[in-house]
Amino acid sequence: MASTVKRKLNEGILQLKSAVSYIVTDVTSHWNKPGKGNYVPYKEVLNYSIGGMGQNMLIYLLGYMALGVTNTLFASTIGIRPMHLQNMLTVQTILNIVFQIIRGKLVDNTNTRWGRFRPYLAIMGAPLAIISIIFVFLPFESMTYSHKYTAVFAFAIAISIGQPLYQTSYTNLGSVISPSTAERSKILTVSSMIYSFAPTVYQLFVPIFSELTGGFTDIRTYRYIVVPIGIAGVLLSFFAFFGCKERIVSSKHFVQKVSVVGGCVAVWRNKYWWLRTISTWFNFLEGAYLVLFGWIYIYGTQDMVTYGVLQTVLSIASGLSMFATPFFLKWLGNKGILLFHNILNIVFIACMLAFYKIPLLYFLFLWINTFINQLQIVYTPVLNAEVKDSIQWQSGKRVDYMLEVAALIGTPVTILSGYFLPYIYESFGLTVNYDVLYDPNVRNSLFYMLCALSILGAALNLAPYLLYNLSREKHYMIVLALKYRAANSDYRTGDITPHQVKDLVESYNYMLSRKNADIPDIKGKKAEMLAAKATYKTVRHEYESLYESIERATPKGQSVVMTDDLIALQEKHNAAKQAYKDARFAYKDAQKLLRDKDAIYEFIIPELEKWDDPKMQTRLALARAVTAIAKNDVAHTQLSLDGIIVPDMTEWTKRIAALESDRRALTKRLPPSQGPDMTAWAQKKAERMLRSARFLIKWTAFRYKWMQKLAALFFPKGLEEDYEEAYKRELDVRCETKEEKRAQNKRIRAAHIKYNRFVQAYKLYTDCEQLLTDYGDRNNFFDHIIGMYDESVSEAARIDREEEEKARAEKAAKQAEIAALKLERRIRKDAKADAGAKGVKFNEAYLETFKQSHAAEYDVAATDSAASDGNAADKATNNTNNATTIDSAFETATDETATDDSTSAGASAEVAETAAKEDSDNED
Amino acid sequence: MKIKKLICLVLVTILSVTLLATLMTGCTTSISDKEAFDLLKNAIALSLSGDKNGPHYNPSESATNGFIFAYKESVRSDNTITNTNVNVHCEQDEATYALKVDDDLMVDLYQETYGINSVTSGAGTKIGDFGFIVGPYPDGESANERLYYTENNTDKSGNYTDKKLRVDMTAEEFIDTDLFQRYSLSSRLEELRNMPFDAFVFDGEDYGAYQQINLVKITFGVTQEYIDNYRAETGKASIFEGCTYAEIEVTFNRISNIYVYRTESLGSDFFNLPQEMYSLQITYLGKNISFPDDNGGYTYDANLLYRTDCAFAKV
Repeated sequence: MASTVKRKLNEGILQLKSAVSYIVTDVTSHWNKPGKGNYVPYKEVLNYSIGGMGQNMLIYLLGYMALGVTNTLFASTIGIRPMHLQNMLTVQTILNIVFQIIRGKLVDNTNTRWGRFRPYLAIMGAPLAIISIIFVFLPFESMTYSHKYTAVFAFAIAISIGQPLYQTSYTNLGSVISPSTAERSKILTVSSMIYSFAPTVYQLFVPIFSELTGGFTDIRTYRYIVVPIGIAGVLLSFFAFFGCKERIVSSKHFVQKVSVVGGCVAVWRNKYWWLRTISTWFNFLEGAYLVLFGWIYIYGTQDMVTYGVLQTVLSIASGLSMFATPFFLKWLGNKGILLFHNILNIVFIACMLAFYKIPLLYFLFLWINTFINQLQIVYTPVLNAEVKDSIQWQSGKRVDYMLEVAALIGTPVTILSGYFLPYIYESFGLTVNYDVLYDPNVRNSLFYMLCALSILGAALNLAPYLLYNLSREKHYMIVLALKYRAANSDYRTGDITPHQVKDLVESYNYMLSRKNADIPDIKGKKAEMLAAKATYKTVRHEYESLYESIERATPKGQSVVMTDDLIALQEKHNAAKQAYKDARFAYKDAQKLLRDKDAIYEFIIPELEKWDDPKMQTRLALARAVTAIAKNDVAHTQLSLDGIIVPDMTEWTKRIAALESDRRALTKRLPPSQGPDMTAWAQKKAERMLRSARFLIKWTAFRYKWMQKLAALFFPKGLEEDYEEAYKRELDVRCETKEEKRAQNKRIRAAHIKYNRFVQAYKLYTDCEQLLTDYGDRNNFFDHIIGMYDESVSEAARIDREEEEKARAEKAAKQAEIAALKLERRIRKDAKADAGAKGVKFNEAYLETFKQSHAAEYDVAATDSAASDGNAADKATNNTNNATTIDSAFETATDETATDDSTSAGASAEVAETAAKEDSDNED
Repeated sequence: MKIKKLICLVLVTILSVTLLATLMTGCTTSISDKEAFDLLKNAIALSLSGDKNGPHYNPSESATNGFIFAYKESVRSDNTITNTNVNVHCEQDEATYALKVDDDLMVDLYQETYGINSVTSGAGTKIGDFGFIVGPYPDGESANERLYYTENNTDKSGNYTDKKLRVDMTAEEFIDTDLFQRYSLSSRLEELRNMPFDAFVFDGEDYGAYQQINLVKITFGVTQEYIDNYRAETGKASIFEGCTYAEIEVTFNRISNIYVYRTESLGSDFFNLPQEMYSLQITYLGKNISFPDDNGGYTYDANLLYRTDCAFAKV
């Protein structure tokens, strides 16, 4: 036993040493030049990370200039009324809509030789820091309230104009630092680990040092402690500017335009988006408790050292939470995690309310609540992505950036709700003088009120999610429907891949199997599960009782003898346990089957039958009428819609009534035939659709007239080329010199304007063309793709094999390359030592001579070292083939050594140089 | 099931909207002029209940929290702005927040004056200041030895003397001195305490009083007759002299803020903003005072209890 542990320990240490050695060698050897298959050298990764530290530090300074009622500098230190801060925030929010557009235009049209984002990192940091510094050094001591108010407003607005440009430039730089998704995600992970070190340090030390300057309510803290952090941040952010590159592959970033109005309407029609958005409207209330932690330490205990330490401990909660979120998401599902998060918020805020007089206990609940809250950092993008898929299924439009634009609809709500907390602050005496918080009477009353409001906010936050039912099963069916659409289209263009075919047909077959499966007897399954559980409990009890009685009878020091009875009971126990597990699985699977069936009714059947609905047929008729006119004739040809009528709805009404009846039957767990009569419901729906289709005819006529006007205005001579293609073509042109780039930028701008005009003018026409194309593709899946399945499976397997082999070979080559480099370093070191011992000056000539004289020795060492490295790496990656591959790769790399001993190390160096050159070529 | 959820959602939403609307509108109620006046007088009495040298001393109030206060006063004239900070502080029990009026009582008094260069910039140059911290020295001293400490003093010619004095005096003793009485809370609320109802003008745009949960805000003008009488009777200028209007905030039944405004031009007609001529912000428990731990440079002189610029009498 002991020897096994020792052996495993030694193996572990060996693997660890090997891994560390691999990392060190990889980093040092690819410090200036990227490794094979990569684009970014480690030096650049470090520069990006240090730049991130700088960005974080400046943002920390700027954070104190952010308008809001909880801002300690503006409110507590300078003494601006909470309500006035909210007024300023309202103005800033409105102005920000304009500035957001200006910033977007500015960045989108930036194309300098330093790239698109880096220039803003360089030029925005210093002005922002200077503005902040001027602000905190203003003579607030001798200023009247009006002067303070004006100064705060002017400086805060000035900072809010430039700050997003600076802040997002760093994030955007991360998204273009490498064209490889895998490498990019690695860089972002590593850099975030490095740059998060900065906030950990200053969040700990700033509160501690603030004791020397009078705490956070004293302006000197900002002047002499916070400002230096910001200045250091500006300097550090230059590392990202000077030490990083942007690697944009332009044409791959090209995305077909979705109009702002069209995109927003698509978003607004989605129920899940509304539920999530409405929930966020109550965040202002839920977040009311956030200021209390600071208040306890700043005004209550006035112990800034503990405050600094606890803030650092609090930041750990975020990291742990991000790590844990995937597990929670898997365990609870989408709706489950939303409910879990919000219910626990209520519980823990209530605990804070109960224990706020004991600061450390309050902190404990705050820590747990922060942990719970931070789950949303990871799950929000995941759920947003699902909502985006849902929007795409519903509208046919892929919206990414439009979600944020659509959310502007809530601006009035957020502006109005923003006044609520200042109102509460003022009602408790917190008007201008934040020192009232030193008074426990005021502070405690506010504590109760803010905690109570937070609990109310958390409850209101939770309410919309009771209606949120975008389950994993529904998302799976949405994605299946989208895959089906994409495959129909890709088949036409010839872009369909074997993997795509394999995946889609298998998903479709799974869907069919779920659709055709009998409706499970949930109650029966549950009863079976409970019965199996009861049996299992009884048998376990019997088994444990018998075991214990035998154990009692057994003398001490002897092991329990397994009697026949005990063995029989043990087998019975195991069988009962397995039966219980099976029954539980069957029960859960039955529940899932119901959800699957519901999702199929909601998403797949409408997708497959969408071309039959009367409104769609009307749309098709309209599209045919529009596209019957040539694009160039639009300006002077009238559209005739006289013959277009909405088709008869009788059959369709019957069909949807039957489908809805089946679906309702499903929710009541009845056979499809026993569902309620949904005729009345279907007739109402048909009436609505009829009205909608009639409106569509009128709307198309209006849009056609508008198209005529724009076509005549923008293209008086008619369309001269395919503007979309022309724009893409210009984007793909590569330039070498500054002059070429400048000229190319002009051409891109001109092509972009023309393309924009085309999209604007011919929107109706292109929509109609797209609709007819999709209609033409509608049966590709059933007519062609299903038939390609067998062939695609074998083709996909072949591709997978090839890729696997290629990846294995690349890995082996990389390890061989590193081994060769290590050998070269070792020889150089030995040669230097040898020269030193002999008292001879070391130079390249000496190295060459040394190599020649010790060729045989290093040949053996090289092989041993490579084999050792290879084997260790092999163990580490559990790849049984690696050792051989590495050995052979190394042999290949040092092939010349085997044939000519005199050039052993030189060959290694040459291999390294060749590899480096290849890397360089790749990068070029 | 869905209908139940929908009903639940609608109910919760209606409830919350009603609650918010009630809080935001229903809780703000206007109060009559006479009520506002009475409320103001009561608030002054309660605010001064802890001042044993004042007219409203109430031992029971003082035992809880009346004795402890801090205020920041800012007086602006045409050429200068004078800021006075007074903090009478004692340690509080962290678990119960009960005050510990015992040997830890300290007093911090600091005043600085700035000369204003221009009305629009507001920037000023410090032209004088003085300060005191009185209380038990943190370490190395006997239990009954007290310090009277001054720093950054300026002499009459404006030069910093940076004199540090050391006197056997407790904070309680210091509070009883004439010097401190000039900066007591009673001295700051003296004029307001004696103002008759007729001196207030409540009829005017934006004038009046309203209550918003625990806050009462009273906005008023002051008659010229009162200002003239005040000058004639006391020989001093009223804090309301030259004012356009004044605002008083009463929180938890005590005076918390007083602002006196006058409308003045900031250089153009566009910027005619109300400027604060006078402001007084009161807190009934101030920040912890940390005694400077610089132990060097003291001049110990038990008889040196007179300073030319403070008229400080021996206790």
